[in-house]
Amino acid sequence: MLIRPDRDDLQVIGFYLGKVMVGVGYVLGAPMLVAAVMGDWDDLTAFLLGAGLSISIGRLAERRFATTQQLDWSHGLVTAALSWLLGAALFAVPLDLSGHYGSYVDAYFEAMSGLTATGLTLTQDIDHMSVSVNLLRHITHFLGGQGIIIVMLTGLGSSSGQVSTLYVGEGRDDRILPNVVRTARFIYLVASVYLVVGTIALTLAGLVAGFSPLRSVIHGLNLFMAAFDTGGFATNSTSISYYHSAAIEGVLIVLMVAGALSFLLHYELWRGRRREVLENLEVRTIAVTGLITTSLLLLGLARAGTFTDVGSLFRKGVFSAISAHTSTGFTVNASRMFVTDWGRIAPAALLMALALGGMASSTAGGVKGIRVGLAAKSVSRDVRRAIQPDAAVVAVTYTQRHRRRITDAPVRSAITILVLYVLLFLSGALVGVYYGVPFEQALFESTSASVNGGMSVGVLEPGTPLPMKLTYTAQMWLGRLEFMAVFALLGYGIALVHGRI
Amino acid sequence: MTRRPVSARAVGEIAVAVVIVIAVIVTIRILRDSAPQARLPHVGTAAPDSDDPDIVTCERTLPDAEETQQAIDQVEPVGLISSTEVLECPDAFDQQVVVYVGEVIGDVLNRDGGAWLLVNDDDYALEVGPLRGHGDYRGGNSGLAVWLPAPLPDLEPGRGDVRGTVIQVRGRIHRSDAADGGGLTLRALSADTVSILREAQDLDRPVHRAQAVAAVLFALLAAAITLQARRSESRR
Repeated sequence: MLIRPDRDDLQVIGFYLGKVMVGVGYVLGAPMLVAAVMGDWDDLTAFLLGAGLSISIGRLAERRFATTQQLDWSHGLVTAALSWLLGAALFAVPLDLSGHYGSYVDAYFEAMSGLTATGLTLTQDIDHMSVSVNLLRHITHFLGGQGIIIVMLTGLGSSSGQVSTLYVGEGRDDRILPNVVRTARFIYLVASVYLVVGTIALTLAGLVAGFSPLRSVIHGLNLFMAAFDTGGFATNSTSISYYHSAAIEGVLIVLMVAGALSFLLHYELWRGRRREVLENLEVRTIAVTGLITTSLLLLGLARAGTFTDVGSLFRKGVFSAISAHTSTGFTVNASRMFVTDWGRIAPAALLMALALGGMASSTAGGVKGIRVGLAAKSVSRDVRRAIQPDAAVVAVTYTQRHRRRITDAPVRSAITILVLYVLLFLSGALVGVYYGVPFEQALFESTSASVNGGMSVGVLEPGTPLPMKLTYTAQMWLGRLEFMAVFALLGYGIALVHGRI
Repeated sequence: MTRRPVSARAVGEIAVAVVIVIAVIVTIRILRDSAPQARLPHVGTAAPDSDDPDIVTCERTLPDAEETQQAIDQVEPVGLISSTEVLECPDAFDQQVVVYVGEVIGDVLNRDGGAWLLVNDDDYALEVGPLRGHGDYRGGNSGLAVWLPAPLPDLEPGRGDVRGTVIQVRGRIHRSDAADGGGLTLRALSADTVSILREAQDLDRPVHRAQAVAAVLFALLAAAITLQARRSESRR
């Protein structure tokens, strides 16, 4: 029997959504400050409006739904799913008012793409966008990469018990430290250290590349947020090819890889346990899949004759492979050139790398190395069972913080999510095909949205039909939350209508 | 514990709040779109001239045969081209000498005896001007990476508040420029083959009054509610 959520359930969800909305309002203070410094007064009023709106509604919700009730699992999942929808809706207000989006739907798409660290864009005339609005786009990466709710709630002083269910709802499953708030603070400590070091490195590389000091800092900061949070937004229309700099590409590779490592692994490295890196199943899986996809990509580019010298082949090929496998989505060529100049094998390799993605509980998207690794281990176990005598006991183990034996429960869970991702890729591709996009291109774009990858073959543009934009938006949301929170929200909706008190 | 059904009043309150927010956003958007637009003057054609290049195929199949420098030097100029044409068929334009017109964008990266530029030839660059000055949406940007050897003319790149210098470049397309790590570039034949068609222009973007008033009102409302909430907390 379905139990209909009651007033107390909605109260606790409304209360925490209020807190998230207040947090969004405060975050808008950063680009507002930059707009004031740069003299972008019209943009400043757009940020002020967005902040005022967010804080007003958030505070009213906090007051109207004030409660001391604890979040249970269903509350946590539903609040997480709604927070991402609402957060994108509020960040979309100043984006829409910036005048760079054809409609509010486009601005909403952009905000969702930013928060989910996807990097697909519907911005029009980005090359004339103000510094402050561009900064807001990249800040959404920084927030979303680490987890929007965790940022808001730990920043606004919520206790560990209150936010633990939200932590899982946001697609995180590793609790690094016993307490969720301490875990969240550790995540932000790691991100802050990388922020300082990464921005300085990119600024220096920018100076060498010929940027003025101020412009170098602006580009460095934005690039850092897009790289470490494996987002892929860029400050201009030509992504990383704008910089013509091997040094910048080198620093970005380090940051993308760091972003695709789980925060648990960062913690182990922090504590000096380097052995964990070598033994970790997910690291090993990603090393193998990375090697395979990079080799395929290079082979495809060589066969198509895309580059005329080996140096260029490796520079562009390896960068693109890492950008795809970490689900960042930076490109070193125009999107259309994936179709017009990359042959057929190389884009297919990129698609594979995008779909595989980074590590679980990192900033990266994709189906994640742990699921691929578990599925592979499970296949290995089944094959060994099949060739051993019936009485033989086959035990397959893996290392994920501790040595563990493969059991059916995590394998089933991993394969379920893998199947859901494949269905998501295909359903998005079918929508594209319905609107006349060739299947390969529709599949590329759909996969890129679903795994929060952000690479594009040029299918997505401001003139894309509205149903396709909405499909990609939903795919980004589903992919970032890894299905469960969204399914819980749907279940809640059904229970509200059909459930019994 | 007794379960209390969701009251119709609570649902109504949420619905009213959602409607108010949507109404505010839609109203401001309509007011913005109906405001007078500061369109910049037309710069000049971005379309290719009558000597359209004869494009055989737009899809790469097999690697190119190695071209000799002599063969490259003998290539006939193909006239004015657009970035979209080149990106759609990079192979067809490889090593061609072309004329390209566009707006310098973002930054002038001075180094190695010249400078890298992003030069856009989309509608915002050559037709209607930067989008923020008007509301005429023409899609995304399109441009080419251009290498200019020194000495450089006086260039001001286009940014949020500037329509950049519009230049004409006569140069050679490199589909995979080894000196740029394999990027698609247009290298000016010499400093003399670059000319300025239009100087940069500062944009005046006035504050939208209705938006500013709404922003101040919401900021005051947010401050008032926050202060009241803090007071209630301190009383408790």
